[in-house]
Amino acid sequence: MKRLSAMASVLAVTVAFCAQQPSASAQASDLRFSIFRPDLTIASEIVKCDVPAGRSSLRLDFLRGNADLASLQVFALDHADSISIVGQTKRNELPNAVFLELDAKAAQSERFELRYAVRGFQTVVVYEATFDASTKQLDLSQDLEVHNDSGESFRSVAVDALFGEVKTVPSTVMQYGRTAEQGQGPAGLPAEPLLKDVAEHVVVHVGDRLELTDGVADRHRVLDVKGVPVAIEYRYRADQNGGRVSRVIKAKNVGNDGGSIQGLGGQSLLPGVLLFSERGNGSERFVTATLIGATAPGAELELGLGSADDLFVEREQTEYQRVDLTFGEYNRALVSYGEEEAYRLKLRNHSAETRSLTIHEVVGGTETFEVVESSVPATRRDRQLLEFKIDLPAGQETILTYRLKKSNVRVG
Amino acid sequence: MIHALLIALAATTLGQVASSPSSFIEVTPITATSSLELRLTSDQAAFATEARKIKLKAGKNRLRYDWTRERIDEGTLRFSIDGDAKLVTREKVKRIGNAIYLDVESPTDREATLTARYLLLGIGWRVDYVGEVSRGADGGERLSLEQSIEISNGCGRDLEHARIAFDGGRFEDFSVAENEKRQRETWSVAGIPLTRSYVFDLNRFGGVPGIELEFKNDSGSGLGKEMLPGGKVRILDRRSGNPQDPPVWVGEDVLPATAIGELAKFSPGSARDVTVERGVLFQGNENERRDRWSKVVVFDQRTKLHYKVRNGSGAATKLKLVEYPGAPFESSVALDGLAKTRSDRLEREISLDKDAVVEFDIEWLRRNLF
Repeated sequence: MKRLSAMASVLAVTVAFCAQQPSASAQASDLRFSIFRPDLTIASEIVKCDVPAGRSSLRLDFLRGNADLASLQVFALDHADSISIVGQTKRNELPNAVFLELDAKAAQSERFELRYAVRGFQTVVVYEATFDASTKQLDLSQDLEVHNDSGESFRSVAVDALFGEVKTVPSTVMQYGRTAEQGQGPAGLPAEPLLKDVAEHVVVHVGDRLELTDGVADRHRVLDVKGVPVAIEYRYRADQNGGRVSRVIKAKNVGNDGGSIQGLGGQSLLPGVLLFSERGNGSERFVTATLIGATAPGAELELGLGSADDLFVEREQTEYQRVDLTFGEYNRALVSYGEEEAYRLKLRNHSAETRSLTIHEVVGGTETFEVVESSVPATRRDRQLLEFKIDLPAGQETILTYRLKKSNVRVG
Repeated sequence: MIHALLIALAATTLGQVASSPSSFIEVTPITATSSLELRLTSDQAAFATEARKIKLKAGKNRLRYDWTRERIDEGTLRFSIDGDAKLVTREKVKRIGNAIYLDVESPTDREATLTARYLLLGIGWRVDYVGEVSRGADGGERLSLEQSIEISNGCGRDLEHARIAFDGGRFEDFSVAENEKRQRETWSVAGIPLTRSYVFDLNRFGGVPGIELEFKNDSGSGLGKEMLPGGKVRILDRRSGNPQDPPVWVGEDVLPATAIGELAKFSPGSARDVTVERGVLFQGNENERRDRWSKVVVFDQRTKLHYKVRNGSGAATKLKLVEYPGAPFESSVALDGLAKTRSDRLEREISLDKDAVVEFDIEWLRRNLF
């Protein structure tokens, strides 16, 4: 039996044949990383070699890197109908080697795709957003930062970043009664993601020939839109934002056809870190560094701008009475009662324009209540939330009053 | 001092170039800061916007932005470049702390401005006010108000010729050395109409009427250009009308952050010339409802208070009296100026003639307590 070995890939897979017939040298190329999450990257590379006719054994040596041999999948690319991958063999004395059992109908040159999980790569999405208060427009950029902490540097690698939930399962070896030493793969390495899940992922192609240096994080800009028109909403809820009116901007994630900027581009915006600032009044103010969720095409990106400094709400409970007390028939203990409450909200708009304010009032204590009187129509949003929408004229104070009647408020 | 820092930065930078990865062909250190603005807010670290002039060659330029002692929040670092140059990639070599490599594509040889924006830790600031109360020609009280801002620098480097913007104003050319504080007066406005009232509120002032002063942050007061950031206000009184008399120190309070158009309310102390005697004449339960075992489960509670108010201020004045019976309650007497202003609060405004002594009772009933 003749053994051939050759350096097969930049990711440190060496390939050797242990076969009945001698084979040609093997070469690897087209390294590609699909980075799912910090502990899961699928490496893919192509190995080209000459396969002898009949049964043969192809030895793959994983000399460097953090490859998970348990996850190795091999696909014959050129002659899948005439070359069968009969099985894989691993030997305890060669922990970094995998022997592929091949059965070829004829001697031929073949390309195999090796696909396996590696660790040490991570992608982070970073957004930089600046809202211009004078033009009411938003500039947004999206960067993908690729971290290489694998212990290896790569000179030319194609990188895809995949976002979405990945379903992986731990090793099932223990279910068959083997010892942990035999059964477990390298600690912490997950199983390969299921293909049906992959189909639902958002894939961002970062680059084809990237240089990934070990210990370096590279940031690549994948989206840069400027001058996106936004809608500004003013919201008030007494138990949020310290009782101050908060400002929220909304930008549509739609495409920009016809040359005019309408939205953020219409591509899926991934969850990531957002650095957000507001420009206006001659200077720029840092608003927040926060995590944002995914924004689908067609949806709206909503960003909080902090408190409004020209809208104020003074909220007071002006009346409260307990009524309709109900006592138990047997023990004459208090069972439930009703409440009548009245509220007054003084709304002051010191700006030079009419502002529309959305007010959310939380009704506590019971879910059975009715608004018996209100200066502005109230809409019940859920079990305990009332919504009022009111236009506030410039430079004026507007008063919102409403009265509630609650029933069946439980004692204690 | 900033030059020394820049020299240190340059030396550090050049020293690190040699240890850069072999693929880093040419690295241009960015050391000359051409302008710096600090935006100070009450809820964040200082937001620095810093511009640096750089010379770009046509094609790809590798720049290195680094810092040594500055307490930069690296996670908030953002870069932008002016003109037609384009920032292509940004690289962080993890074993080299406090440095970031930037790849910039420029179509021509040119000078460009690279702007870095970041949160800078260690900058503290506070606003102080000094107010002097005097009586105007119409007999009304006026306030002269001075605002000053103190900035403490613990950010790791000297600040020179910085532009400062804060919640309430801005000014140019501010310098302060590291580990130093510097105070600067920002503005002074005289003749602000001031409203003084006496308030008897046990919760806020205890058993002595407090002095409540208020003015409006609007153009009618000579203000209204910026919001007033919260800060300590020290009140001096020159009501004698004689400018030769030194002002009397009245007291100090925290002036709350006051937006344009809003009322600024504060209380520099208590009044000694208007006195209030308050006594509880009666407090008792009635209409008790008992359960099967005669335990009281629901009751009403009646409270009656007696007040005796003396005005020793030497002039007619007004006193606002505030009581908190708690919700639910209903007032049982009708008195001039007595009003339920909140579900748990009762107020009465009393006009007091010079040397007047006023006595009255108030009474409330709280129903269905348990």
